[in-house]
Amino acid sequence: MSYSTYPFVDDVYAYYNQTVTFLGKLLDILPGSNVLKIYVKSSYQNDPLRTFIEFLLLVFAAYYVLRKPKTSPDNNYVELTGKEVNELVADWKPEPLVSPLDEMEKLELNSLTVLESTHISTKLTDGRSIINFSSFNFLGLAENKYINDATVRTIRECGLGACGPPNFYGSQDKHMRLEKDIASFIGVEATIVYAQSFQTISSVIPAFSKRGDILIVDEACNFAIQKGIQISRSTIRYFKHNDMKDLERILQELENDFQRHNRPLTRRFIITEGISENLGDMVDLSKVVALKKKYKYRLILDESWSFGTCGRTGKGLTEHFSVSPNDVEMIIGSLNTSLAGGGGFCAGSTLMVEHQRLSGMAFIFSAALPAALATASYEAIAILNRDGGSMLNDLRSKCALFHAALTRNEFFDTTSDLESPVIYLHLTKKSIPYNKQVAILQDIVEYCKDQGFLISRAKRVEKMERLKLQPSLRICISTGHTNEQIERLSSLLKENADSMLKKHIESRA
Amino acid sequence: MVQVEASLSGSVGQEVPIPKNATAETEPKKIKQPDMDEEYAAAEKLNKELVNTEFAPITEPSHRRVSKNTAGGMLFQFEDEPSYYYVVTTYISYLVLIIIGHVRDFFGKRFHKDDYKYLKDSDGYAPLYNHFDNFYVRRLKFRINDCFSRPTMGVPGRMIKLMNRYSTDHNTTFKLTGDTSMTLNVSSYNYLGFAQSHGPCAEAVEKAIRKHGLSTCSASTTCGNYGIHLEVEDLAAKFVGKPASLIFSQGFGTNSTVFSALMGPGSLIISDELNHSSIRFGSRQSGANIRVFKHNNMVDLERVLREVISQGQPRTHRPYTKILVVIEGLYSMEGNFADLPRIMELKKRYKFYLFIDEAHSIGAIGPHGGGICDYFGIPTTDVDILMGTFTKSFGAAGGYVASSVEIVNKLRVTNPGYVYAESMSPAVLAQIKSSFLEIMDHSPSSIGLERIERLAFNSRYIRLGLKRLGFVIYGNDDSPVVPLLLYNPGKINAFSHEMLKRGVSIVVVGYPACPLLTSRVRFCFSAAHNKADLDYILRACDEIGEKLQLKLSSGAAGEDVGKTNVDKIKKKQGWYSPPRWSIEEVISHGVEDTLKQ
Repeated sequence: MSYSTYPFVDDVYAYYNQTVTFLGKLLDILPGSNVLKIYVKSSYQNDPLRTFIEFLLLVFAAYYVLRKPKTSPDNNYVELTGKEVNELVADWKPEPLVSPLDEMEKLELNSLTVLESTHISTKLTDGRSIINFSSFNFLGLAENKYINDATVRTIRECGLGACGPPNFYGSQDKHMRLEKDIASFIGVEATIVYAQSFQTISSVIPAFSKRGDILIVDEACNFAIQKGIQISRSTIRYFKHNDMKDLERILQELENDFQRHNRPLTRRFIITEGISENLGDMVDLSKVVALKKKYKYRLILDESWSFGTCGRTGKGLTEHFSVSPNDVEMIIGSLNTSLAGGGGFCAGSTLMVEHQRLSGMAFIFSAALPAALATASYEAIAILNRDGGSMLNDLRSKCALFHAALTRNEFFDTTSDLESPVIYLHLTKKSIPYNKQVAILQDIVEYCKDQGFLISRAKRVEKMERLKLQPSLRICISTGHTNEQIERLSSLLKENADSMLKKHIESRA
Repeated sequence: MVQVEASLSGSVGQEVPIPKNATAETEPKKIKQPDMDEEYAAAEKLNKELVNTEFAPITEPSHRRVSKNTAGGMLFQFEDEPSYYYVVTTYISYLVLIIIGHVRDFFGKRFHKDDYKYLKDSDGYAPLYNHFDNFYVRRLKFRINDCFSRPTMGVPGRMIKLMNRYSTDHNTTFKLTGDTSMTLNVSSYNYLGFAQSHGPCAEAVEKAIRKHGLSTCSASTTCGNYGIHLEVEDLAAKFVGKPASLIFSQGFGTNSTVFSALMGPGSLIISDELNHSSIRFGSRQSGANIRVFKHNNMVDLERVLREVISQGQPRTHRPYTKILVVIEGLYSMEGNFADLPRIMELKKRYKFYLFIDEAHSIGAIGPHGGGICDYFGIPTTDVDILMGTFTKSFGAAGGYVASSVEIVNKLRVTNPGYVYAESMSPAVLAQIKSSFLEIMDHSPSSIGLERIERLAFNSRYIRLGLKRLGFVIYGNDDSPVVPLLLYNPGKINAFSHEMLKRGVSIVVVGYPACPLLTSRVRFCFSAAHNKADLDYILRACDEIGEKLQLKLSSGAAGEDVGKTNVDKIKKKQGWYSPPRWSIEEVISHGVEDTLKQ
């Protein structure tokens, strides 16, 4: 081949040579290139077909890596033209945002009561005086003058609102003191205070329990727990209400399953209430603690109704059963009941509390509790500490009085524990249809209101609740009530339930 | 505590960053009264100073502005971007932090086994939280933990008293030193400055505690409703221009329960991707389907709407029973407004229901403080549900939902947050009521109106100033929430410390509260600040901006509260000269330009 005839081809050839030499040199510099060279050489000499296939594979690999990633094919998606979409848009008619109120909802709406103040003896808006038997002001601290003075001082010192979430300059010295006081009152390492008690447990549960974790929940748990476990997306098992045998059966079942399949260890929790919000009965904490220790579960105990009402000095169920509070991983309580402040808390180990400060949704995304409400709560704790249990004794004796006055009557029975200041009264005639029962109970409530006693039905959003329960009256006993008032109310209930029932049965007939 | 008192009285003079001429102006000239007891006079002076730390007297009566949309029914908001240098260095910073974190974990697990015990299975219990999920907190957040959750005392007003603290274990725990420092507060959501311990609101609160008690100890449906609850419900409804409203004791609790009462399986919630966590929490609880559209992107919203209406429910293709679009009026991390005019157009066409969360916008924007609808001049009757909180502008707590009478009545019996949760404290209601009465007073001498207009002036003034200095600022020019972009993670704590040195408390935000790249400082301005405070902050930002290399704006967002470059941006034209004004120039032109534009 003469170089002079095709100068262009020569140029290209020279350039090609140069590049190949350059690449060859470059390859030499790279460590391990010799191996590659030897491999290519040997494979090419011995088996050109193999090299070709390998080359194809390389091309395919390059194509596979560089191609546009396809989204997973959605077989259900219907391709429509713009015109068709426009027609569908024009045709679509939404339902009204809310359906009209049904009969039960109308009854609920009409039964809302408006009062004048939080005091035990207060007035309705029409000026009639009334004694409040439906407020959770169990120890009468809501009208304690000493506490009110302290809160006014707080208002004069730091205004009302905290104007920001706790993580952004919203945590004030009052909150810190409240957290410390609750922790030392119960006897745990640390506490975190939420701005609303209802949101507390709904936020605590998903902060720890994630997908794949196991929650074992009392089937009659309150609404806040139901929402919390819904958000957590964990595996949920329900045990029969306060049935320790059923709880043990489920624990054993899960343990067997765990061992048989050799599953990885996940977080496991038992969730139950101290005093049930729906039924008023008390859980056997010592048994639950024994079971949780045996099967290595953590315990989340909702003490919203037992904190400040149970135990010798009001420390809750742990005190009542003489269980160490450190055996319960998370104690959730309300500051809006006995302590007459606002908000809720979760008490336990420092590790657990600090984690919530970064992942408890209702803590980080909500403004801090107004300082005045925090002040009221820690002043109430101080009073409980000083008092040393006499207030609680008073409360217990008043509860016992009400229970005693209502025993052996044919109209009502109760599921409430003797210690519980929240007393649920159900009609004994369970055959009466649900709506009718509600109407009867509402009549009783109205009658008592006319007589100067404010009691209430247990208010629930039935459509959203997990269990449908028998409607009930809810009577809250407080140390602020006198024995005469309690006796008078119980005799009113006994005397008039009969006529109310008769009236309704007649109207049906 | 003696120390506290001493630092309070002492620091007002020393640490509090007010230029001398400003304090001189604000103090009315005292006529010498020889018969006045000197002690009394001193007490009065101290009291006056205390009141001034909560709410600054206005330095110039003209420093007021009406907050309304001037762009003619359109919304103009532009987000500037820094050069790639800062983007790349930010990612490298995170990479370095993550590598160091892993190295520390590697050695820590071998040599300090006890410190890592909580991340391992022990005694048959799984660890309380995930090793991997906890990495960010353990290795990145703890480095700058001293910038967060600083404990405070007193009123979160114009000034805030921080409790000084130190850490001996790398920010894991903090110990209080026992003394405090008074700082200028641009961190609290105290937009209208109603966080005060004295004045008509505090009087009303005190009276309410004496009369009604502090806590209702009950849910709204049993016996937690007092006359004052109904009064405030009426006031709130009247204020937002809706027939009825109902109130809840917690803002988070409002959003997290209201959706379960409204929506359910078969219906759809379309939510802005940057909506507040409470909205996401609530919509997940409701059981409705959830779709998300890109933040404030109306094109994307329309795409989602067309898709969901034409495709119907997944699998069955049954049409959705109803669609609720959920937006926020003012996004608290971005500082920008929802594009309400465009949404109202879409609403007419696609027949969805609209839910506006006005947590930050109520009281803070609009000529009468009426929120986003007021700002755009859109009647609230066109919006189905307005939700808001009392935490921010009203200096109280809790939230409301305002809507038609039917919807509100339905919510009264089906909203779990109303039926089960504690009702609002009468003290909180008194604060809301008295601040409402001030804001709703539309007479020319109204104090509430003055607050609203002062806030509007402050927001524009500071935004104009910061933009001219060359910072990257997000959000709308009328928004009191001012995010200043930092980008590099190392600058987060640097900025916070520098500001604290200068006596200003600020909120810094990093991942995961905002995207990884755009770490930011968030200022929340208030009607309680006066021009002297704003100038002080501008000067501080100017100094720190030079030091930390934060003046990164490209000029695309304009240097005149965002008008000149609108056309250029729309046509994607040319180069905008990046604004780098000197601080003196900024301050000398600030007031005039704020009032003019």
